[in-house]
Amino acid sequence: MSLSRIAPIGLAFALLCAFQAHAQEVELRIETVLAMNSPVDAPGLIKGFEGTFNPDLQKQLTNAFPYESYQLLERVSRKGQLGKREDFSLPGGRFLQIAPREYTNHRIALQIMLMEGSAPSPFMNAALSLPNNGTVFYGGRRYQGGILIIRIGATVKE
Amino acid sequence: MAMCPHAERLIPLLHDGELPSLLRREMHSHLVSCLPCTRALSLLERGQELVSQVIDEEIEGIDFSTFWQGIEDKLRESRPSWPMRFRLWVERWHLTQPLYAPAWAVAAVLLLTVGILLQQRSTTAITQSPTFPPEGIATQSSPDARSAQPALVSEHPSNRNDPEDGVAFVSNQAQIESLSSSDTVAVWNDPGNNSTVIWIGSDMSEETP
Repeated sequence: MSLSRIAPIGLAFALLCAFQAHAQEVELRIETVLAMNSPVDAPGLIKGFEGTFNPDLQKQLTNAFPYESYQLLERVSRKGQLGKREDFSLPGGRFLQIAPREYTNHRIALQIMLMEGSAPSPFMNAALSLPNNGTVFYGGRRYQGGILIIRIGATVKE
Repeated sequence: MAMCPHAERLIPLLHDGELPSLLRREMHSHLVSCLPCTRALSLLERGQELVSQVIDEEIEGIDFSTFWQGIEDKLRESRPSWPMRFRLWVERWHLTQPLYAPAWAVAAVLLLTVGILLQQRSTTAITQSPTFPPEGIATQSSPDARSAQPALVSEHPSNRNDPEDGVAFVSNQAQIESLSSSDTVAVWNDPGNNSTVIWIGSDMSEETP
C-alpha cells in the first residue's frame, strides 16, 4: 500500500486518537464518615471530629446532621472517564459503584449503586446529576454502633 | 532541353554541401562541361538568395528597440494569485500523486464522525439548563417499596441571587432522575449546605436525622 493511500487514513485516525485523548476526565471523590451519638460507648472515638476533615465537609456535616461525633474512615479520590464504571469498597463489606454517564449543562450525570452482603446485591440504585464539583450525601447504614455517611463528589475539568 | 541525370539527384546535395569531397570534386569537374547541371545549380543559388533577401527585409522591419525591455517587464510581472497557484499546485499534485478514492472516503467518514461528536459536545456545553435543580426537603419514605421516586418540595428559597453575596449563586443540589431501594428512602435538600442527602434505613424513626 502506497504512502498516498495510508496518509489520509492515518491522518483521520490520528485525529480520532487525539479526540479520545481529549475525552473528559471525571474525578470522583468518596469520603466515608462514621457518625455517632454516643461517643463514650465507642472506643477510639472522641467527641467532635476525628480525622483530617476538610473544612467544607466538617461544615456540611455539622449543618446537615445532628450527630455528636464524626470519624473520617476513608477518603478516596479517583480519576475516571465518562461511561466507565468505578468501584469503591466501603466499610462493613459494602460496595459503591459509580458510573459517570455524561456531562451536559455543566452537570455530571451519575449512576450510583450501593451493594452489600456476602453475595453483593444492590440495596440502592440511583440515577442523578450533580453540578460540576458538586456533592451528594448518602447515609443511613449502620456500622460499629454508628451510622455511615458517605459524601460523593464529582468534578469534570472544563 | 536534355536533362542530365546528375542534376536531379546530386546538384541539390552539392548546393547544400552534403556531398563527400571526392564526389564533390567530380561534380565540380562535371559542371564545367554540363550546361543543365550548371543551370540547375544557378537556379538553386538564386532561389536561396531570394529567400534570404525576403527574410532580411522582414527582419529589418521589426523594431527590436523594446525587445529586452519587454522581457524585463515580463520578469517583473506579479506572481499568480493564490487561487491560481493553488490550482496549479493541485494539478501538479494530481500528476505526481494519483488520488485513491477509497482511502479518501474512509478519511472523510472518520473526519465527519469527529465533527459530529465535537458538535454534540459543544452543543451540550453551550445550552443552558432550562430548570434549576430541585431544592427543599425530601418527602418520600417508602418502607417495603422496591422503588422510591422522591418528590422534592421547596422548603427554603435560599439566598439565590442575593445581591449581598456578590457572586452568582451556584446550587450544589442533586437532580434525581430515578431512585430505587429495597429499604426505606428519605431524600432532602439541606438548606444550610445547599446539598442533597439521600438517607437509606430500615428504621427511619431511629436513624433519620
